[in-house]
Amino acid sequence: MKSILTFLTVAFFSVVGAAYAGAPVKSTEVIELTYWSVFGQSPPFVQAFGDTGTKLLRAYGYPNATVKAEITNFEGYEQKYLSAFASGKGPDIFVGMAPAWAMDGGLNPVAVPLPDDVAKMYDSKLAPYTASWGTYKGKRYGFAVEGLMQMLYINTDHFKEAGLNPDKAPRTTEEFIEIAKKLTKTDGSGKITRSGYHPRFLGHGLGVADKFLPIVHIFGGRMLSEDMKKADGYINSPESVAAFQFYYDLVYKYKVVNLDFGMPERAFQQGLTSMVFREGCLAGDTIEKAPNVHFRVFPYITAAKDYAPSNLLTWANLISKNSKHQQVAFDLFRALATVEGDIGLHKPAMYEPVLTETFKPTNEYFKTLVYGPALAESLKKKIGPEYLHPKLDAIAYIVGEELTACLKGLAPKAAADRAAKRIDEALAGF
Amino acid sequence: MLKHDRYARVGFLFVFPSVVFFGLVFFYPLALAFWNAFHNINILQGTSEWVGIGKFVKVLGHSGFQRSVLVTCGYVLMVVPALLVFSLVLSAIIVGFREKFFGDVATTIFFLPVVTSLVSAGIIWQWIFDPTLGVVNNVLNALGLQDAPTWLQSPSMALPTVAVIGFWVRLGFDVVIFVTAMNSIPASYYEAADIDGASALQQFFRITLPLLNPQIVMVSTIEFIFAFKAFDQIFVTTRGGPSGATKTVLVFLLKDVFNNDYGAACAITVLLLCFLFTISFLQWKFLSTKVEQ
Repeated sequence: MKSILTFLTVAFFSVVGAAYAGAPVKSTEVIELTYWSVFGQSPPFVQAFGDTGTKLLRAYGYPNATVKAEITNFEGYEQKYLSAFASGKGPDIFVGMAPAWAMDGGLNPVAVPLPDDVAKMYDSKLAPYTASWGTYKGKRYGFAVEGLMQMLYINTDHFKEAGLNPDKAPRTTEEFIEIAKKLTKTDGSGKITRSGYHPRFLGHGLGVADKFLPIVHIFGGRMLSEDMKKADGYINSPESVAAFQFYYDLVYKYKVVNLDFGMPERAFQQGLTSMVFREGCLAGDTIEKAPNVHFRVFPYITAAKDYAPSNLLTWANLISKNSKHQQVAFDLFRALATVEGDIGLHKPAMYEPVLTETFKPTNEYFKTLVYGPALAESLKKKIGPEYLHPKLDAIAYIVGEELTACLKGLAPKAAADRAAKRIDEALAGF
Repeated sequence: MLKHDRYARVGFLFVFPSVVFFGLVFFYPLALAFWNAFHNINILQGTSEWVGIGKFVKVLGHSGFQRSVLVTCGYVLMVVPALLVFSLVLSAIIVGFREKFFGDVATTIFFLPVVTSLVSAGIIWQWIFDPTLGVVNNVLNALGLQDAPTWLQSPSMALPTVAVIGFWVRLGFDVVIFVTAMNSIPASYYEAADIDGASALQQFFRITLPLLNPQIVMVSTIEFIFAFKAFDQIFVTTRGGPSGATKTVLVFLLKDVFNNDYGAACAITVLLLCFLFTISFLQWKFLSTKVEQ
């Protein structure tokens, strides 16, 4: 009896002691996990992975572990990744799209599937909108980098100046055109000095397509067939052509766009345009870089379909097969699947969180987001089509190039037909 | 004989580091590219499968490749003839300076872009040609031209604009070659021509140009190769855009093919090498024979 009591006492104090001492030490080895991200537009966001990762990993039982975050230039990132991975090196964790890098069926098999418990953890915790990111063919390889959702940014000062109510943003394409016309300013020669709206048409074709496809979707079009084997009949369907036509008309018929203004983010922050579409990331960036620009964020506009914009670029944090510390990386992913981890990763750059627990309007962090209400309203809608295709980079790039050609004067139908032909060629070859 | 052998061995030792260096960084990758061009390669898994000329057929039939060849040819046609003409004219002017000092200064100024990083130069030119903030359009606006082109952002103007950058980058090299060659032509030829009453223009076309033939062949060959391989300044300024207007063969290779089909990327490299080798050989064969004879 005495020995049983002694055993129970020792066991009790051991459990209590362990609980107070924090997680058991898993390894005292000096470990450095390298993280590569293509989010060069926001160094604080990339660094947040390093800082939060290091903090949580140490608390998780690796007191001498560090997560080193590095930026990889978006332009040519695929080549850099591929060269590094092919030489058996590269980062332990990297930002990529699962269909392109998944070990099982990906274009370049590098990313390892997550262990069952980690996969289930994320399956149950991720906000539905971001749940598919980091997955391919039913397997989970990682989790969404951020909850990217395109929304409408309006310059409230421009609205007031044009006699418009900044609490009432356009909801349909018709309203959008009318309001854009009222916001557009020209000089004596008729040259546009302030665009009512400014589209993305420069830079990487992938980015151009990412910003344009939500327009295609609300017009009822698609980039690829449901089985993702065909573009002809989809990106050049009457609905998709209507989307090309909509953009074309904004430039040439309604004359609310001045293409000389370059990238839309820069134009918005310089006060050269009154409206742009962009994800939540623009909010923090504008507050920091252009504090004189007063803005509000609203949900995306609607046309034939009332979709919330799906994200073309399903960026996810993935783990490399070359990593010598895969188990540590899995533990890091376990540690990050918490509200603390989610906020730690996204708050420094005011980015959208990814876990249901933080992604909902009642969450304290969510409440601080300028675009929080617009995001919450967007999430009530059905999400538009997604394309989890291994060759997404190459395919979407073509859409971006042809949209640019269209905005530079090529007839919408011709641009759409050319895109369809080129995409089908890319699907068949490279 | 023994002395000769010893010299040969010592000579070999001197060139050995270079042989090793070129072997590792040039010949080995070249041989590998040839091998890979005939295979389906998965560089991550290290697997390869023989496909014969399949990759070449695929590449040659691809509309993107065909378009990139046309873009490259357009770039070459804009850059190479302009380079030859302008560098010859500039060289003649520089050689004509009575003061050697001015000639040297002018040559140095023209040569500076050659030693400038192409990436840095590309970024600077990108700003110069910016439609709203760039120097060019602001000057044009100040001169009363309100509808100035958007240069690098315009599908019709982007290629000529990157050609201007390519021209600027290479001009100095050609000028240095021609100035050196012109200075090596014996003055007695021109003195004799003067006595015979030949004008400056006649002297240029009848004496200078024929005697510069070896340099003209060399410069045209080098510039053709450089123009056909143009990449850095294009990638930095337009990344092949807008809408593929400046997507030369090498930009196409990197952006559209490299990470999707490694074997096809190698096939493009091989095609490019064979094409440039053939063109260079033909240039040498047909342009240089008259002078050598």
